[in-house]
Amino acid sequence: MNFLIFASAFAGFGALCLSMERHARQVFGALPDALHRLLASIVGWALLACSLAPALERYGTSIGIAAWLGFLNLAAIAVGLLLTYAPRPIRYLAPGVLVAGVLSAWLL
Amino acid sequence: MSWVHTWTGLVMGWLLFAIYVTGGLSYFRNEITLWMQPELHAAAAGDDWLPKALGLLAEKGAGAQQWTINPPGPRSPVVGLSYREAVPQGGGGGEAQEESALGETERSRPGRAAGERNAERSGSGREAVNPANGPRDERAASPGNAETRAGGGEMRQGQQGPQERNRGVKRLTMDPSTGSVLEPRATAGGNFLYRFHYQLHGMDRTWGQWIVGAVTMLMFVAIVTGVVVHRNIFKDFFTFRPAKGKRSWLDGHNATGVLSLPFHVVITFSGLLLLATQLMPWAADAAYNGDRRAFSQELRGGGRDAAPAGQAAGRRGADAGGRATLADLRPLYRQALERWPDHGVGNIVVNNPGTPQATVEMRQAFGERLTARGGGRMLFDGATGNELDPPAAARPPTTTRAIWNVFVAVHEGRFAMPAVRWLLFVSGVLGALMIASGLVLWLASRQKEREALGCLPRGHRFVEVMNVGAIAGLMIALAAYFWANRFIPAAAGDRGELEILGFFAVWGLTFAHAAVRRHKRAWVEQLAAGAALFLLLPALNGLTGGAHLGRSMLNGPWQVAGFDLAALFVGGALLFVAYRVQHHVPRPARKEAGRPAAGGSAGEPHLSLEAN
Repeated sequence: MNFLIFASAFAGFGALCLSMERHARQVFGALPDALHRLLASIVGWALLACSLAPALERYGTSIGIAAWLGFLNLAAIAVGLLLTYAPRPIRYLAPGVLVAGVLSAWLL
Repeated sequence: MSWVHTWTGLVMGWLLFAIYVTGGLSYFRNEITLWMQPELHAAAAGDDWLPKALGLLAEKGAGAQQWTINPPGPRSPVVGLSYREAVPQGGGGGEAQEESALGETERSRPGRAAGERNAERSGSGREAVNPANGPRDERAASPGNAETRAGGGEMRQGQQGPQERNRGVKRLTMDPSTGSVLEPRATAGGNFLYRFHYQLHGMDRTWGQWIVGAVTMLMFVAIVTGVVVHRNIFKDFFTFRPAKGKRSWLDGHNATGVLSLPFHVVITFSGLLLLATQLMPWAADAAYNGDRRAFSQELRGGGRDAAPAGQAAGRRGADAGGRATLADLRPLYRQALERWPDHGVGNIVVNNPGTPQATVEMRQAFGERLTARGGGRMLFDGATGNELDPPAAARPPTTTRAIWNVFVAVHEGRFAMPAVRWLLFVSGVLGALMIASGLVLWLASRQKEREALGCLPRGHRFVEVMNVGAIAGLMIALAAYFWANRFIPAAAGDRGELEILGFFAVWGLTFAHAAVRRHKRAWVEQLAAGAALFLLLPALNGLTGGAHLGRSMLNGPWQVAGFDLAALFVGGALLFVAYRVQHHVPRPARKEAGRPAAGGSAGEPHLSLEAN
């Protein structure tokens, strides 16, 4: 469950950074069109919101929110570091981690 | 606004860095104390610790009014035992019972109030859950500090003085596999770091808390102004451009600040709240006619009406005669574990053991919610093992108290299971990096000014020395503290004080060193020294009686393995930063290039390379 929280937050931040001009350029090498960036930002925010659900489920309301903020923090650092040192893999990593997170929560 | 941010940051940054680092480590203070008591490392998990513990208690604490057993758990590999002897003193017994009912939250809480002087002097000073507390005699009550006790330190956690609570309490530490009593060395342990982070050391506690309170207030100012000053908070959210001098330092400072902004705000605000009764006691004094004890009791939701089970049970048995054997507690324990699969059992309390009126209470290890202190409890009949009606719940917290509880619990991580505890710790590390990068940034952004001047102003030199000592020096001092733990003979008197002395002596020397070396040399040498000390800690642990990494990683205690691995990680990070500073070549034509450490580096911030 912990991993699912992290995974959706990570994918969410990953999508959010793709909605930003500078970072999208870093990841894709070219600027995606405005519609795609809008889409990325919607998906990003939605995923961030979604990551709250497993946190609440796992830890209950009050602790869940605290834990969720902690995971958001961790995920944002991960995305930030990737953008700095290895921006291109983000396009595969973000969805990949999300799928892994969902699978692990589902199977375990 | 920018001016305010810069100067509040500079003024409080050095101390605040130490507060953040020691405060962050406080999330693991039980584990740190455990590491510092290698006598406990050999304890192995065992299945039959419960009967063994009861046997030991029956032998040592026969005739005691109450037994408490702290099972081995995620934070401790050993079994903590304590028993409260009947105190033939007017009211003493009743109060003891009441306290025991409240005791749960207190026991299971990782963070505890300011210990009284005695405890500090005797070194480890923390009770209960702390795995590491060896046998300790009842603490002598020192009437002298009754007044301070009633003051902020205790009150901030809303407690009664520990001496009172611990009247007549004897403690034992038991190896869960063999059932033998362990005698760990005295150590200042993680508690020193914990106390340092809110009341410093070597001065009156009141002064320490005032200083920390003032620094916290400035921190709050710096956070608010920082958000205002930082114009592109969303646009630059992920931005980090390494090896670009001042630009990189600013990016690093922004990223570490913004990414964990919720943590910084909450931790600063709740820190102020925790110190509030010390800093602004007047409201409480007015409402309670100066009776701080009453205030603190109400704050924690105590009061006599909220002390249900233990008290009732105690009364029930108070005048009982007769002997009876205790039911097998193992099924009851399993039952409790099934009820609380996530949290586990924090302690097992047996009231009136050996009598037909015995009751057994299982208390949940961590609260499920932040708004109420303490978790669930289950009550059993000691003779038959049947579950009794659960003790009447304490009054549900009022809104005010619920809010207070949330902040306090988040600050102390009291609720935290290991994963959440690590998240809080990581946030703390980020905070430390934010402060450190801010301090370095102050110098980096004045590089041009210095170049124009052609000399190093005295003020800048002062900041350079302070930066090296406060950041790299603190890392060395921390490592030295752990080294001192192993080099001071285990039997030495006042060991805790000696360890603390080692910490401050080394920290002082690092400032002296920074003052006599050139800036860059000072950074490199201190970072390298800190790296060496941390990297060798696991070896030191193995050679001086602790569980070495090979053993602790395979079959525990994993708390010790975690400590050693963290030491390796911090050492590695320090070494990396030292290497980067050493090989840094300022770009000739342009602004000099600072080099922010990779954001993940744990202990240490990026290094300032500019000057000299």
